[in-house]
Amino acid sequence: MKRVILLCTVLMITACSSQKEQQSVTVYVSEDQVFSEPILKDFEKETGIKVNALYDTEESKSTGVMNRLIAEKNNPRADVYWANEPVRAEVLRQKGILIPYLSPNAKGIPEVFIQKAHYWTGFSARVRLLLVGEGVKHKPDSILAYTAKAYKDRAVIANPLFGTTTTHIAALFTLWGDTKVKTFLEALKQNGTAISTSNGESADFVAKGRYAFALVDSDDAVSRVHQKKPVSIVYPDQKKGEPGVFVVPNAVMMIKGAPNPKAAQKLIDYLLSRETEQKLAFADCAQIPLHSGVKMPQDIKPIDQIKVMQVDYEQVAQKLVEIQPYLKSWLEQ
Amino acid sequence: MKERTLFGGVVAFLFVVGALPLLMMLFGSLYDNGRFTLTAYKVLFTNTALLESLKNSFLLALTVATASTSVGIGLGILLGKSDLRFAKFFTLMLVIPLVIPPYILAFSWADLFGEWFFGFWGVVFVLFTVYLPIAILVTMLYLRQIDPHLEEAALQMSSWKKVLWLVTLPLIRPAIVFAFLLVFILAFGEFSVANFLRYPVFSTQSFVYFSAFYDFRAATAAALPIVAVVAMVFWMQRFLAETKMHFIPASLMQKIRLLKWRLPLFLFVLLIVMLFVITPLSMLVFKTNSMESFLEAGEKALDPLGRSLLFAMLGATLLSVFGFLSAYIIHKRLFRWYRWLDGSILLLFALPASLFGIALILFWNRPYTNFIYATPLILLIGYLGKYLALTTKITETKLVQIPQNLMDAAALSGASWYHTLWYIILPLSKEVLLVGWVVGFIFSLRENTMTMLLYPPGSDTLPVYIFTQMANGKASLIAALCLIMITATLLPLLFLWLYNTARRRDA
Repeated sequence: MKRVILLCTVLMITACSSQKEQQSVTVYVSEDQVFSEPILKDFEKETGIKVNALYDTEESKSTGVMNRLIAEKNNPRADVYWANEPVRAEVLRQKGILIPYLSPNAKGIPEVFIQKAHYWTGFSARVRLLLVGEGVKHKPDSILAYTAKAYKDRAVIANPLFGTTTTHIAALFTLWGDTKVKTFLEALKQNGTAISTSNGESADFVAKGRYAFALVDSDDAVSRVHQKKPVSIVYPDQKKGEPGVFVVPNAVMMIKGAPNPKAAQKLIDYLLSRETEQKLAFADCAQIPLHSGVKMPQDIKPIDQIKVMQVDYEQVAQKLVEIQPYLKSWLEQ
Repeated sequence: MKERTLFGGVVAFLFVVGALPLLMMLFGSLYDNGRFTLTAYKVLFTNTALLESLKNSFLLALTVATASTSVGIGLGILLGKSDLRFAKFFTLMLVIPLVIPPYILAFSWADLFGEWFFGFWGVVFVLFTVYLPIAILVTMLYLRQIDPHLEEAALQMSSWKKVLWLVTLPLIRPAIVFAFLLVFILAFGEFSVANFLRYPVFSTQSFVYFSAFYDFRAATAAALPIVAVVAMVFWMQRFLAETKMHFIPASLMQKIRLLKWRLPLFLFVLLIVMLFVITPLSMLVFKTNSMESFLEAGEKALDPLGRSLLFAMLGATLLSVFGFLSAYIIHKRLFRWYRWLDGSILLLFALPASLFGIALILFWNRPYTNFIYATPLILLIGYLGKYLALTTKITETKLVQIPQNLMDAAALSGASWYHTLWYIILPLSKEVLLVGWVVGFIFSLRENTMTMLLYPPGSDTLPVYIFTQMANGKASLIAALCLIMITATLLPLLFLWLYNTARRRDA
């Protein structure tokens, strides 16, 4: 019995002791593990710095680790946060959880994707696209198609309380103003638009022919095309006078009070490199590089060939918090 | 050291591990910026989506509990009281869905049936297969309590059919009630299957309120009806099913001779095993479809699996030790308020894991407790709080069987309470401690919801790794990871079965 107790004690100490002899960095990640883990493994191999990662899940609507960072504000455990959209970065900045860091590798990334005081930097972006079923005769080319009679009861959109759909709607609020967006959302509802639980589910519904089109993230759209589903991709609102495509870059940032600041800077530099952007472009998520001239697959358009929605992500983040009660009540009506 | 001092320390430790974080969270939900307020609780009466999900949860739990108990009692009698061929093997097979993470089964069934499986009936079906073994095992356990003379006397006058209906079933009524209530509670608090199959239930709300909105006050408020349901169910169970367990050896039980029904019933049970166990597992093998997927999964799973096994072993050891100590306190009624200990342990078991996880974050996330919060110790504390009820109840079944005169004789010979515990009770409980360890190991290994909230960076476990891979991961890789997870879960069960078989052979 004494031996068993001794063995258990040794095991427990081993399990709970931290490996202090090796340089390490702790990163919280909202990007899907299946895409982010290979990048972090490559960083480990190339630098010898051990990465302790904590990944988000779909079930927490990809905000679980952000909320853990908020919970740990007075007791920071993370060095770096890899967010899958800049609005989460803005929320953290406004709560005083970040410190500024301008990476040399941020050079070449358009200014709109870099926070003015360098609290976060965007890289490898998703864009919000229309995924349209192959059998649809008149393909929609604007998000206003959600309110068109031709698509009554034939369109689907992900729950606007969560994820990139919320961010997209908040961006529209900053661009169009409250009245116009509320009118749009009411008309969208009146037109019998279905609400799905996620962008992935919306994409599946369109792929199965249940709905004519859906507004989804580019990774959801490209993956259905790769799976040879009967769908096509439309970059919406590209004409003159139209707002353009909403771009959702990843964002990387350093945590205030990070236990390993030097290793954190190295990881941020690595994530913002052109090589990382190329890897994410050729991964299944098919993310669009923000550096120009980075090699990328042919089924996605380079950022400089897309009309991009011009928004201030700081304002979008503020608006996002402001519109939550409205969106909740809109959903429950 | 005095007996009451030592065990008082144990109770104090368990209070800090389990009850205190929950009480602090409840307290915190009543205050906003230092002012007492009930605003967080308004959500219970004003949010229609929440009320709708509450209705869904009730309906789901009721349907699953009714189906599992009805079928489980029949199968329990067949497997535990008849001369059915391969009954032990079938029992072991039917336990498999209970010990593997439920979302793996949901993943497998959804792959087989496709889109129409998503929704209420899909969740009911998966949870029915998961919780059916509970009703079977509880029935089999209670059947071993029936005095064989009662059935023997009844059989002089009547057939087995009538004896079952008029004698056996009324005698195992506590089993029926207990199984129904236990399945009801577990189905009511279940999170992963309903979430995967996109059926809105109440337990997902507390997770979403914390994870998506970081509103722990609303999360606590949203979980309050679950606490109320759990408390009500245990209160009912106390009156309906409180019986002392005294088992008779299996060899003395009155066995039903199936005669001409032996083959049809054998085929019937075989069909159930094929449908509920073999089919979902085969689907995973089919989905894996290549050796490369297995190799890739093996490589990716190596680190998380190693951590999972280590944490589960340590968790199981803690659960066995504290399960034994708690069972001793409750059995010997060392303190006047032993029922509170019993109730708290059961409440923690029945509470949604997400809620307990949130409470642990709020309680331990402080610079001076980083040695717990920032290390896997937080997971071990979570496993201990959540699953202590299992090892406590398992140990209690043995303690009630140890004759009091053994203890009296030891006391008369001058043995202290410590010597009696160490040299009499502990050796006699060795086997039940092993069973408790295996149960603790399996439940710690398969735990997912709480681990997802609590694991320190770089310490993810295999169930968490599989869950995160489910977002955009390759289906063949996920299936292979699920098979690795199932193998890791079933191995200790297999060892226990082999150990028991060898022991019986020696006896």
